[in-house]
Amino acid sequence: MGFRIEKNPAVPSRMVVFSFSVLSLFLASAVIGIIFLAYGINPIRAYTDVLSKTLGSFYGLSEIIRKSIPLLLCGAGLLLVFRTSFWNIGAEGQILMGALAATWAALFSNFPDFLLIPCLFLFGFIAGAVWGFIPTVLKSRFRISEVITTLMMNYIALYIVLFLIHGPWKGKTMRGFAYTDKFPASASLPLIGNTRIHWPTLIIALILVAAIYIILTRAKLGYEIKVISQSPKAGRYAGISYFKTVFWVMIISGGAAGLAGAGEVAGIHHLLRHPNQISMGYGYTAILVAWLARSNPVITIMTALLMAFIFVAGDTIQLSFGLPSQIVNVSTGLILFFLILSEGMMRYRISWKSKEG
Amino acid sequence: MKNSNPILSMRNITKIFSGKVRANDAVNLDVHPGEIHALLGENGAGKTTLMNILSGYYRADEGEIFMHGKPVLFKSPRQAIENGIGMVHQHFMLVPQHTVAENIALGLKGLPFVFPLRIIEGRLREFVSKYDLSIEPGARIWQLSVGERQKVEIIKVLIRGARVLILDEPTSVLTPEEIDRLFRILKKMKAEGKAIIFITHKLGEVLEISDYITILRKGRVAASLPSSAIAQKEEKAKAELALKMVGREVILDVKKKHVNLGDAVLEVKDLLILNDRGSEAVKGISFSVRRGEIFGIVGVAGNGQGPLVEAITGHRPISGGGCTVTGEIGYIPEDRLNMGSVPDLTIAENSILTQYRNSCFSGHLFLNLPSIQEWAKKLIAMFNIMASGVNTPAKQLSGGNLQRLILARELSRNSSLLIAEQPTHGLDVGSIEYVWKSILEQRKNAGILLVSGDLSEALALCDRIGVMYHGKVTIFTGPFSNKIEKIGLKMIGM
Repeated sequence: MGFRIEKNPAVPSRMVVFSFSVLSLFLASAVIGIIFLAYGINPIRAYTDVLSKTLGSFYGLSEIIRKSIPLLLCGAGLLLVFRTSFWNIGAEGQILMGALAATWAALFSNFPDFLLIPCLFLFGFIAGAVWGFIPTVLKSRFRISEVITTLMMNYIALYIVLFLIHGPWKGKTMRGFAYTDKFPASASLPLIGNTRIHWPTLIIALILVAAIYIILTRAKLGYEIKVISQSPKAGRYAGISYFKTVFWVMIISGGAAGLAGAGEVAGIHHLLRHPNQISMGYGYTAILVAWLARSNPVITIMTALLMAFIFVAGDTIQLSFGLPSQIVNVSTGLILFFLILSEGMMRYRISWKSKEG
Repeated sequence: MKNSNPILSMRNITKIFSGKVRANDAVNLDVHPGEIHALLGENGAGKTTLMNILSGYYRADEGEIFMHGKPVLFKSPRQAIENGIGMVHQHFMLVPQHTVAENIALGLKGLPFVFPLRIIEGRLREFVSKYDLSIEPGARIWQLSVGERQKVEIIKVLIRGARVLILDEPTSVLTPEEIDRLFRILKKMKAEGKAIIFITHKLGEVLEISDYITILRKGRVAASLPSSAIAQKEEKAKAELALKMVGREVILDVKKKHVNLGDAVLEVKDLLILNDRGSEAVKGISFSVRRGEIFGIVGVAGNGQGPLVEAITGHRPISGGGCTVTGEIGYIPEDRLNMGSVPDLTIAENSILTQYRNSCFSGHLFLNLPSIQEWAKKLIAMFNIMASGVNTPAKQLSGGNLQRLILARELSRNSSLLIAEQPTHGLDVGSIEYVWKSILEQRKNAGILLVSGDLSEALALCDRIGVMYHGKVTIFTGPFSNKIEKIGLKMIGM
């Protein structure tokens, strides 16, 4: 008897996906446990501590929801883009441009107070959409790979923000720190109770998820996406314009990331500060949010919460045990590693067969 | 030459794909040392499948292979190579960043661990002088022309000790001068006593180079004869050969009701089309198709039929002349799996592929899902499509039912011009009849441009036939019974 690993042609069922994901989380926790042991920390104690401070506490739970907001906005948008086989790696930069535009609206526009918050989101959306639209033009006009351009535009956005907070937008009341001035109260988003959940952004994110679900199931755009992503040749045959489709998809995805940026500055920071503290890598993590949800936008709600949990758990470990911050990155890396591994393993099966022949 | 024993014999080779498609059906092939054996046939005739079996990439479902009279069984390409069979693929298998010598060394046995390239270069020079294959061992593949890359592939095969060389459409990528050079090399190898199997669908070059010809059609041997049997001047025999390739054995009797001809729906005038490499694929042709008639385009594959259809359907720019279509075009593409349909989408979704913008099926933003479902159900009932429901993926349909779905969609568009490209290729008899009946029926509403690699189909259905050869067209008007010979000659450019 021998065995062979072969490709499983069947699409894995929901049960298989779920159990593989849970299993990979357990395996990742086991490996992270070894790292804890090396630091002389009892892993069981560490995990109970992390769980009680995240899922087991009101503050922990609220932080998970808070961090899932930008992940959900970016992740749902990216899911739509990836369904079109356009590889937008630029959500990080689109968040920053959204944050930048919202900051301009909050500090330098003279909108009346009651219009300020809607304008802030509108500007965030437009800035993110423009940042997402540029790579589609570069691809359609000059055939430049969107993977390169979206990624590089993240750095452009980063340095634009850095330039502004060190230069023209540097706050006069900030005693030399590289921040802008604080937003006026009319530009701050309302929060739920004493949490940091800025509920308007959360509602926008949930509406976006619903909208993307509807686009994919019953809109003309969704039909076009399905055709061109599965067979570009059939798309041409049916007269579907690849670039027109990608254009709309990137407007939605870039705009969603821009909304996330606007929500972060208006809901959490109330000023524009170092880009790494605003986008926090949400734009990159959102790629995983979209990817783990496969093609179902509703699942992004779960995967965004999962990723947010990993973020918050990392912060807790750092604070409770005084471990170096790099340990957090190692842990999140391991969790993602096992999740990706399980994704690959689901597509294969082991078949037992006798050796002859 | 016939006195010698064959170096290679294939007996009753049968290969069945996915349980039903007979790519090879009881094929026999004998190849002698010092012989250039041409394997002729249309696309999909089974040439490449047969050669893949011989070179160990596939295993035959039935039949045997003999080398020097002894039965052999190749489980892998490596075993075929060890038995002296080497294949030069149509798409070269070389590493562009590596040098000629490095590419040749790749996978070669019996080389020392250190400095293997010196040995290779020595042996390379030997082959280069023997066959007059001027090539620089240190040159990198990406720097070489297509003809030079082919030489590297040939050396690769020779250096492994091949006595039987298989060349898969070796001339399709070469310039005329490069073809001359290749033929000189082949003649040298033939003089050495090597056997060469030369796969092609170009009849002209076959007569120039080969000693023996085997023609495959639909997986079976349609003819097998020495080239000397076809005297250079006997055009009749050549036409016969061309007709064997496209199949004329069965003159089909299709009942055609008389339909009155209407206005021209397609007007092609001095049309000039370039292919992807920028050379002329269609060289100033003119014809028209009127409502109520079926105009056939026939010819050996690759003579400009593809670019012509692409230009008419608007998928390829026109470089000169004009092409006017009156009204809408219904189009049944040759590639029904990836162009005519999207396999992962449902039958309902596929049923609106070319018409989803129609106001019956969608508004400004949204699809009208109930009416799409209704529509798909109607098409399934009208065209007798065997499907478990409108929401099953199209990939679950059989070839014949998928073609019926595409046919249903395109015929129901009320277009004035219907373009049907290889509409019955690979279908079973029942489906073929159904497709033919539907196309004939459509003459009431439209003019039909039928592009077919199957001459018997064109002869049975068409009112006029345009034979394409090297981008030019010659038009024949039916009845065709006494013109078949001439059509065959035109197909090979005579």
